[in-house]
Amino acid sequence: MDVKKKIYLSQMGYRLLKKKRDALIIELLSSIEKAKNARNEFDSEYALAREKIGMAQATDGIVKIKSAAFARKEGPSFTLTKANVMGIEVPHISKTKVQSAVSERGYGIGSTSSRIDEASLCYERVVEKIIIAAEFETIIKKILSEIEKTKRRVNSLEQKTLPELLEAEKMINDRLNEKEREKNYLIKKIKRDVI
Amino acid sequence: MEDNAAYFNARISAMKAKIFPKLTYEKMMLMELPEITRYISEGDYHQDVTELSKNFKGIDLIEYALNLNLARTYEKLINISSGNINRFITQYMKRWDNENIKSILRGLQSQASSEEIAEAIVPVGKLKFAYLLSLTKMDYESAKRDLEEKKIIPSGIEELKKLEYELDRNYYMDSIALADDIGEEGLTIYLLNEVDIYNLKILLRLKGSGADFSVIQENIIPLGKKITKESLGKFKVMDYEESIRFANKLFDRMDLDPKEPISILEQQIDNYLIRLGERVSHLNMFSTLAALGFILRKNSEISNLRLIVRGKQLGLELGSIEKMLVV
Repeated sequence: MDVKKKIYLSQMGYRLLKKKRDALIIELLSSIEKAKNARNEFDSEYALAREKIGMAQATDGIVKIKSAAFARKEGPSFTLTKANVMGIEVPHISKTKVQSAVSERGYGIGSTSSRIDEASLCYERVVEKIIIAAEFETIIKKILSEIEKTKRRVNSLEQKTLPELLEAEKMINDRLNEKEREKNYLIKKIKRDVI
Repeated sequence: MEDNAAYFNARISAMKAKIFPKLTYEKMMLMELPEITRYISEGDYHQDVTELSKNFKGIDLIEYALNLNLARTYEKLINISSGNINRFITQYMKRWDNENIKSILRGLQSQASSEEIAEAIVPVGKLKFAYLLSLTKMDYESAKRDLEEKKIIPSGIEELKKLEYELDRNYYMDSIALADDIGEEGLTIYLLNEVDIYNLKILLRLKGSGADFSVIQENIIPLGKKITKESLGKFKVMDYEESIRFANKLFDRMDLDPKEPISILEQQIDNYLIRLGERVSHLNMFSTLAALGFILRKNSEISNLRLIVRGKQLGLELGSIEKMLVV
């Protein structure tokens, strides 16, 4: 009875884990797509930011750029919460505060230029894209590790646990049948002796 | 006429003759980047490039060498001038002191290393480079206190942004007062226009970024003749494009296109001021104006060379580089 229960449970688990694995793969594919888009956006923003910083260097000089960069006191801030994807805890980044107004960047307006503003804005966007890309890439890593874990569990159930339990069930059934046969034989023998 | 104005004028004329003409920039723009850097490092900038070649390389080396050359030029101007011309150059150099002080305080506040901060200092100005370097090794509070004690910065201003504004305001106040004291009308006209241009750039930049008008007012230096309380009242109710059109009316011979991006407009506004300075400098060749004319040309040469070198490195189109050159 115990083995039968175990087999039932294992088969149920096996089916569920297989479904989970398939769902995770679907989730992974969708996350890969999102990560790819985030990476592409990051690449184009970064190219633009490099162009803008180049322009700022050409017109204002590297010294002014370095000086303006020092002025930034606060780093980017964002709220990190947890989301649930098929039972896995994944990071969810919300309320990102990277972009700031010209007057909030810490540098005096008089000694900087709009080229520096443009370059700062582009790099703020780059940081935003990095945060988004990092979120998706972490999700992908977590899903991949979960798929790996699920795959191992499915394999273990399929290749080891279930065959062993089925083997045990077969052995128990054989033993019970044999006992049954022995019992029948004994009954028949006793009957024959009595008659 | 100043006591050594004739001598100064002769020296300045010789120095002006060495400044690259338009044709040289046109030739440079057709060269490849290594050719340009070689051309610069073999000419008047040879000593500066050689001296800095241990610490920097590539385009950064050229840029730092240009700054060093500028520092040496100012030093030379101080040495060959006397009287009011000397007073004017000394005062003009204070703008570099202000920029260096801003860089140092910004760097210290963001806890950058002294080496990093030192790279953001231009060795130009009245303050000794060794003193500036010593400041980079202090913490923010100590450096600020030291500057306050030496009366280099006004005391009692906590926020760095406000301190930067005060430095700019004080610089222009002192410069205009000096011009008035010297009695050189052309210089006063130029300085008042410079303040107006400073204010106009802030106004358009902040308006373009959608900043509140109170932020604009906070950053305006109330010394100019065109960006006044009255004109600010008009700017307040205008949108960005209307403001540009109004600026064209306010400034004689200014022709800004509201469709152009602010970075291009800013460049055009800077060029407007340089052209004005050039015109003013011809009013009296034996006065502070001769120094002003040379300083503007030298500054333009440094900016142009940097623009060509960096522009080439970036792969900018020749037309774009040419548009931004000041010749």
